[in-house]
Amino acid sequence: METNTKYRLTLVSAGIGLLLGVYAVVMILVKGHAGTTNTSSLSPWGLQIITYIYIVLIGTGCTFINFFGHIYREEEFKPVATRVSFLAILMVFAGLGALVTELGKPWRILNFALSPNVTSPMWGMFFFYNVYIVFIVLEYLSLRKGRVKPWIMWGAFLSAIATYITMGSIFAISEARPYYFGALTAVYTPIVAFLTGCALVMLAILLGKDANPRLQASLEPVRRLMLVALGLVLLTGLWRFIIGSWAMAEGYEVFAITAPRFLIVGVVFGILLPAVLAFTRKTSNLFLAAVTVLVTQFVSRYDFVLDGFLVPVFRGLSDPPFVHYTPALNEVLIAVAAASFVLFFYAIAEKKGALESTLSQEG
Amino acid sequence: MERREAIKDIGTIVAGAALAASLDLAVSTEAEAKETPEVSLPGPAPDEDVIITMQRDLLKALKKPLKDRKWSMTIDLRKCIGCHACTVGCIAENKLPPGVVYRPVSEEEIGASPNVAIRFLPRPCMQCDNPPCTVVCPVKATWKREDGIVVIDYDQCIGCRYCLVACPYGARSANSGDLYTDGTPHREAYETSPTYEYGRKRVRKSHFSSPVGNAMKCHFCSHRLDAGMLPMCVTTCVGRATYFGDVRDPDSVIAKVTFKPNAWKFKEGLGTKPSVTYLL
Repeated sequence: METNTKYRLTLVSAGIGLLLGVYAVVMILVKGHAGTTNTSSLSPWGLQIITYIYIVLIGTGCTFINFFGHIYREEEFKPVATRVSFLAILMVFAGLGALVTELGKPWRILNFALSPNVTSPMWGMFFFYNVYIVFIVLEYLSLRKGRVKPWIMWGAFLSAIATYITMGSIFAISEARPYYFGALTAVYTPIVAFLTGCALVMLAILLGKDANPRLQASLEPVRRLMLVALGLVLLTGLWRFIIGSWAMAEGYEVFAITAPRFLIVGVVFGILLPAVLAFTRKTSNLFLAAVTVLVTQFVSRYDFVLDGFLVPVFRGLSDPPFVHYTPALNEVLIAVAAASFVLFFYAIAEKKGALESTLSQEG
Repeated sequence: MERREAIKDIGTIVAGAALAASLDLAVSTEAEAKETPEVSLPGPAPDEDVIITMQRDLLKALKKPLKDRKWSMTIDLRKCIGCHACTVGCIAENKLPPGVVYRPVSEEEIGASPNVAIRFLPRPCMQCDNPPCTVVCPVKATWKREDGIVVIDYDQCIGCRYCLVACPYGARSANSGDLYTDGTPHREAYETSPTYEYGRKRVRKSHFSSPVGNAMKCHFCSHRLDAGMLPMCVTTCVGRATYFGDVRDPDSVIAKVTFKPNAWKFKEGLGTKPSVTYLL
């Protein structure tokens, strides 16, 4: 297909996705959460939170890859660095957009700044987000100019770690929810970010290398990083599962209930299959590996958030033994819009040459 | 009109937030320590209903400063008949929408056939002394009052529902704005009539008006306490299974019934230090 036609098609499809998202946001704002979303007191977080976590973790992974690339393999990473940095920025804003629509009173978001509770991991995440966003914007600008300063790369990396360990802590400190509780959950979050970031960057390289052959140089280091990330996710995910399955306390039965899906989707299709595909080094297999990681990790994020609510902490007379949640149409549209937001602005940025260093463009 | 309220919300936040952030706790505490209401009761009688005795205890406690009181609830599970009068009374008192229940009652089957029994477990908010829900609130919209009641500031809450996730008792609910008559041609007046939780009149016109969109929880009917009345679940309890009062008063009914060998606290192992005790 001709490049211009591909570009127009991307813009139109992503634009439709964005419009659908606008429709969903308007519906939620005008009608409220009643009837527009399917979250409840028993399942207080739904697809908007899942979308948020999934997307921002991918963005964080992009920041990690840029950091490792800059530190260890600067020359090989240079061609892809600017677009990875841009992706990280897009991901953060897409994710935060999805998050805000989930709040019952979104217009009070300023309270984070005006009435801070420093004991809350959610507030901590908000604080570190601000730092992180400053650093990734600086990182992008410096990469664009071709004058990368190590303190910026370190700042982006460390603030990303702080932000997402704190985000993991939102779940990890919830002793009320055995499925979330535990230090491993907080550590697991940035590791998952690393894996999904690798997958997205690999996809960006594979899809962009026809138009920009220099991207091919970054493929092998990203492939290796993805294998490392797959190993880390397997290790932490499996250990979290084993520890949870061993526990005797009330509520931990959720690990046993969710075990088949975790082992099949999370381990076999989410880790082992992409690892085998990545080992082959074939371009088509790498593409498949990246797509498999992104799809299975979305399912894993979906399961992670919802499985915490699967066994209710208290069952009233009319409450079900297990809490099941199906997202409403508006929630699905917001997820679609978040992905469309990234695609739309990425396509425009690519067309306008904003994903390349100005030095390399001159060169 | 509702949008105007939302805009007013933003304006209020921007204009007075810094001051409010530092003063909100002090202001609410001051407002909560109202004058003791004038309620007259007949003199003590040997056969009087325990409700009257607890009412007398309540009026006595209200004469003390807020910080010297400690509201507690004790539920005698042997007396609970599972009639749900407390649940219904609470819903009516606080005009709770669908999906929000401050005091559900669970039904547990104990034993194995043929030796089985049914046990009912009413679950108000435990008003924990070490509440996991308040520390996680990112905007300080919920805190523990000096008299032990965990409260929510509906004007501060952003509706993130983190407190719902953190509460090990499931005692917090999200008000999505659902109505019982959704999908029917007629909307009943009680669904949108004002609420008086925390002693403040709130008009519910749409989802822009709090507490729609907020987290909600049992607050021991703090508005009734301030007016010298027992919580609704206590007064509606057919079996007189629910005791309430200032546990720091050694002569009160609550103090006498609570400290017993058969006293049990729900999920006490989590370190939450609940103010609600069950008698087994």
